[in-house]
Amino acid sequence: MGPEPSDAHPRVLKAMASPLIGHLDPMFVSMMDEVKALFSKPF
Amino acid sequence: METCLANLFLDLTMVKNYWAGAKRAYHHTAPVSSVFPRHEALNIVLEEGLETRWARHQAVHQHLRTQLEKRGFRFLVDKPYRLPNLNAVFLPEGIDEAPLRSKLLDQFNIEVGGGLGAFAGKLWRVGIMGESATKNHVNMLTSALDELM
Repeated sequence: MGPEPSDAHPRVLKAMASPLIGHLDPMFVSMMDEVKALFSKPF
Repeated sequence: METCLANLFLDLTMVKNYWAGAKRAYHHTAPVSSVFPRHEALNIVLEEGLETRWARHQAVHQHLRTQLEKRGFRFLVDKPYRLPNLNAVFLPEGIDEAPLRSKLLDQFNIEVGGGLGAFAGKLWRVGIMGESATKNHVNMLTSALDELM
């Protein structure tokens, strides 16, 4: 409970532990696009 | 004057082109394992809803404020300027902050931040952010304080 870091949601921890895929894998490329779109909503 | 950046890692134009779309100009190998959780975290925020999330932080802040003030803590910042998720508080009179902070960590696994600069040794910075913004977190902290103070 300091000024950071805060606790992470279990779903985030699980995502961090996911097996890696290639950075040019089409699934990853579309995830990058989704992340860009998601970022534009709260900010 | 426009000059080329000597450092590839700081070249944000290249980073931008890398993230630009279907035709990616190579700049670096994306940190795949960092993008997965970012994607998940943004989804979690939007599922809860921004307004709901702000309200949760405000409610937990009010709870923290009531509980800390009841125990003699004082807020550094005047009410209208307070950040709900990061609370700078002076400790009650006569309490040495560093030993108490160590006991919180050692005995209860709770970390709070100490003061910086002119406030070193004088106040705590208590964060209630994201998943840590729950009344349970506040109750855990204040119960531990009741045992230690």
